[in-house]
Amino acid sequence: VQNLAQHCEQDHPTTAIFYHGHGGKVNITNNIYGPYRYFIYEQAPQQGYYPPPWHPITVDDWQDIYNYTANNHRFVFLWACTQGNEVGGYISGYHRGMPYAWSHRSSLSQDGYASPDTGNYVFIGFENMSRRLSYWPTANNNYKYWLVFFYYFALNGYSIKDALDEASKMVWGPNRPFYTTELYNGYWERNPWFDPNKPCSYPLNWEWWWSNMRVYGNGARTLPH
Amino acid sequence: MSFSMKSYLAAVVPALICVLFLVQVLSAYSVEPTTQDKALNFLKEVLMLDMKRYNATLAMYNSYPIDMGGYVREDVKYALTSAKSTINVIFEFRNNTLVYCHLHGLGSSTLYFQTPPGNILDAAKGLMQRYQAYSGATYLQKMRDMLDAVTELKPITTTLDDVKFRIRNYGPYTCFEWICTVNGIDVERKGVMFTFHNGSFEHFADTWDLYKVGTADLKVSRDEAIRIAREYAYSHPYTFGGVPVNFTILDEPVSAELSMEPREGYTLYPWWNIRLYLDKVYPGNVGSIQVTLWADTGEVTHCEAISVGGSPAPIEPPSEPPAGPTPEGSTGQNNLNFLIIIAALIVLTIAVIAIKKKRK
Repeated sequence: VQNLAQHCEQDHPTTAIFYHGHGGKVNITNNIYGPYRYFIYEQAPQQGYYPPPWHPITVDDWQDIYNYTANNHRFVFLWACTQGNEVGGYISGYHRGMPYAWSHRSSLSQDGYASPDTGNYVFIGFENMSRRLSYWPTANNNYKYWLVFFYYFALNGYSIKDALDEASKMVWGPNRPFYTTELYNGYWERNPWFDPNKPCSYPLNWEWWWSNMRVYGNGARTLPH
Repeated sequence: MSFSMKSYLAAVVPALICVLFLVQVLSAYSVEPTTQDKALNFLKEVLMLDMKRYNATLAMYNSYPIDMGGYVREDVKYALTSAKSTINVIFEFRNNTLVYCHLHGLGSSTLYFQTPPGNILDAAKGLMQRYQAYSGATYLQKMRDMLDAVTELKPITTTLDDVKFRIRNYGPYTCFEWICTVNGIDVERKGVMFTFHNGSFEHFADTWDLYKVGTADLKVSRDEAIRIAREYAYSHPYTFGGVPVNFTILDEPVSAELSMEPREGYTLYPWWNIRLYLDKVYPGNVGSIQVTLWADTGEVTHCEAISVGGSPAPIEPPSEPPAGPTPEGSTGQNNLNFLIIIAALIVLTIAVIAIKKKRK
């Protein structure tokens, strides 16, 4: 990821990227309630019995993305947990938050779908837990198909927000654009590491996480096609 | 005389048939407007845009192959430009019938031949009235009556026969929705919708005639669906590295959602979406199993091991504080490499000096 980001930044005028995998966050002070920095795993844990930090290969926002990007990652779509939790910015010595790390902009619209800003950048990621691509929200389409539909329309003249609408209509029906779906409105996802023997107030051990897909920046932008 | 009559009939009857055929063909062409015509008519007749003051440019037209339900989808995109603003409109038609419209750019500079009410509720009533005239569909009268009975804009849900009417907010969107409801099951795909955003109309959809309800009779109850799902998941364990994984499904929690989903084209049937949660995380990061089945037959349609894409909870901070932020254009790894090189050079220098001293 780091090498590709650097290559695209140096050798291409503009870049759109997609990443599917695992992600997480870590508090950068000793306060478990944040602020956080975020990371993705280059390789999914193969055993997966325990949560991080046992996985050795992580790609961090503050040191592996921010330092290798500048201006040209115009559309970034990270299908992994926590990547869209917040825009982020510079705090406590860290250039933290994936949208900020990729775009170097901390003022991206908080809802780039409903209220796009006028900038050049769009970031899509999940707040808290991502839906799995193999999950079937409807009888005939799982999220893998949703994603194929999204890129089909995004690469054929539809703006990012219109492509989100069209992909959602393909999955849920023509009367169900993006803002009517669970992706925009949110869903509960269970933390499989939840331990009923620990207190639930402890954020490391919340059983259910409210999650949704977040669009930051200017969703009205259209990809070159 | 009879010969001449026969000759006369032989000449006139085919001519009459040809004329009648031509009239049929011509009338068909003249009565059925194209999707582009229908799109422009919708803008004028339903949204009351002053099309004489807009330059309407066909920005895109896509026609897709006939789908499994026997429908042809056509997408039409118009750019409406005036001296003051540009409005982009996307239309979707199925078999020449409008099912979806989305406008970008309506606002204070929009040119109407008759300005719609600023009040969203009154604007919605006006839209429904004009859409009924535009469409001519009989099912719209009941929906219109339900909307006309509303006197205050607030979230509501009312049901009349097979129509459930909702005013609800999706984030910043205010949505007027009429959906079909049968046997207590909401048919979310089959309905009519007007949506406002920032006080202006933005989305329209009408899929009432697109979908048909096959059956809403539940042969499989919620409890039965969960039982089938558990048995199926245990008898069809997922594999990791080619080896079946033995897992344990918790009794609780379990989620079971019922919806009406297409089978056989656009005909809808009840469908259970069951999520079974496991007692721990199993190889492959799997924490739950999704099993789906038709509620009218019990046939299982999918069984998926659902892994998680990471942890939403903050991980424990590292035992040693992380290295401080690195300057732009560098990284922690680069700093580490630099330190290793410096250390190696120091060791090498000391070794060279020591060797030289020994030789002396």
